[in-house]
Amino acid sequence: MKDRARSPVGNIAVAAALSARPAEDTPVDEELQRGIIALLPRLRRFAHGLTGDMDRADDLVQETCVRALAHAAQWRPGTRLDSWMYRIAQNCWFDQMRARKVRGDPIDIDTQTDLSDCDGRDTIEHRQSLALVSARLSTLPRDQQLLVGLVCFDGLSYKEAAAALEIPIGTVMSRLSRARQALAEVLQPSATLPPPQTVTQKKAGKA
Amino acid sequence: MSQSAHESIPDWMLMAYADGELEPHEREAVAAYVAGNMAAAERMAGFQRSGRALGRLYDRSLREPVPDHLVDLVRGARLRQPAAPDLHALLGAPLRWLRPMAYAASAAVFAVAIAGGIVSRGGVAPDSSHPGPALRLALETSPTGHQTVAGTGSARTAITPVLTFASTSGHYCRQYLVTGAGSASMAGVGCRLDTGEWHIEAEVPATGTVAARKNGYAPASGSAPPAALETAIDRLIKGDALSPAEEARLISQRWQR
Repeated sequence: MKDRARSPVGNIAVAAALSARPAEDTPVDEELQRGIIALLPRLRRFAHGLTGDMDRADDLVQETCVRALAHAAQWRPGTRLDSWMYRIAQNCWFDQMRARKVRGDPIDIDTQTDLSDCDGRDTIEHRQSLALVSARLSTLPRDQQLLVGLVCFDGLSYKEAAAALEIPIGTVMSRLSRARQALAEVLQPSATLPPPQTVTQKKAGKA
Repeated sequence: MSQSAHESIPDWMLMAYADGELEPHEREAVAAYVAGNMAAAERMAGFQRSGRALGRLYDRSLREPVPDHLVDLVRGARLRQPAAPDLHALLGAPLRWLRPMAYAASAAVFAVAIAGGIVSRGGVAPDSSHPGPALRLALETSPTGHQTVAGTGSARTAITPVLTFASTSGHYCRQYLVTGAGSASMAGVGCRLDTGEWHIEAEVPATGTVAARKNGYAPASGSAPPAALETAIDRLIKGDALSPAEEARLISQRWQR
């Protein structure tokens, strides 16, 4: 192989391509196609949350779309496309994480995030926050991840999130509050975060 | 700060307050409670940090336009109407007929059509080395290591770019792997011409790489292309393979420097 540097991803690619079982392939409804295209910005943001890195997020979105299109028959027209696609993204990300673990690659997202890739818009602190949140988010149960995506990222109300996931609103609140406590631990008050909407006693005392 | 006081307003209610999900009379009760309870105030602050403020951390992914290759990928999906041509019917022979062949130094391509049953090479134009649309799309838009699936049933193929490099003639080239629904796999290398078309420089049965599957993982040597393809790559390559970041930039810029 001479002394040429080969992307390690190539190895994975070969292994993955060779071991891939042919999934059922179905033609795609135009409605689904349009829906996915419209969803891409939100899907990227959700993937950004999972991966903590824009490039990896776009890789994940691509894989998610490929998988979604290959399993288009499983989507029921008229049902929520966002939670369906988010779940597929979660599965893809889980598979990627597992593959890394099997290979013995470092899982620690913080070290994988390329801090030198700052483009001026993202401060180092901001990128570190992303990495910390993603690392913590990755350890949460998937239903909790979904709720963080729908409520915190997408701004859905509890009621809308309950409808999207077809679970009672009480379940939304209990799961979401557990997830949010976990995330709050890694999100220490910081200048990189937008100010909270409500001034609490503690905040007021500090200001 | 006592435990009993802490329990009197549950966490989900503090969160609902932080998220603006409470009715006015509930808000008053929570605000009064939090005002006299430092521990609750801290928990409330945590819910505020992890709420919509958290989502704003990721706004960059909304501000930036969605990369074209993602839109193209979805737009290129096979729609319900037209039935896909059957690869076997087009070839007149199953893929496994492809037997290992020595690589021809002329880099002539095999008269074989690959890529998603959407065939434009082979018997259609014997001297052509143009990839079919599915392969072209994969070369143009897929990052290394990412599989694109095309075709259906027995014509189903999966295309995965494996390596990206600059060539001595100033083009970008990509090694790729095509796996069919049957047992045949093909490895090839294509280069992007100034016209934006991809030109297949070489394509060989990927016999060498199939062994990698048995271990579940491909060691570095396991992904080595067949010797014939290696020869072609050595002839073309200038310097090292591109890094994922360089490749991502090129894909997003449609391979313009």
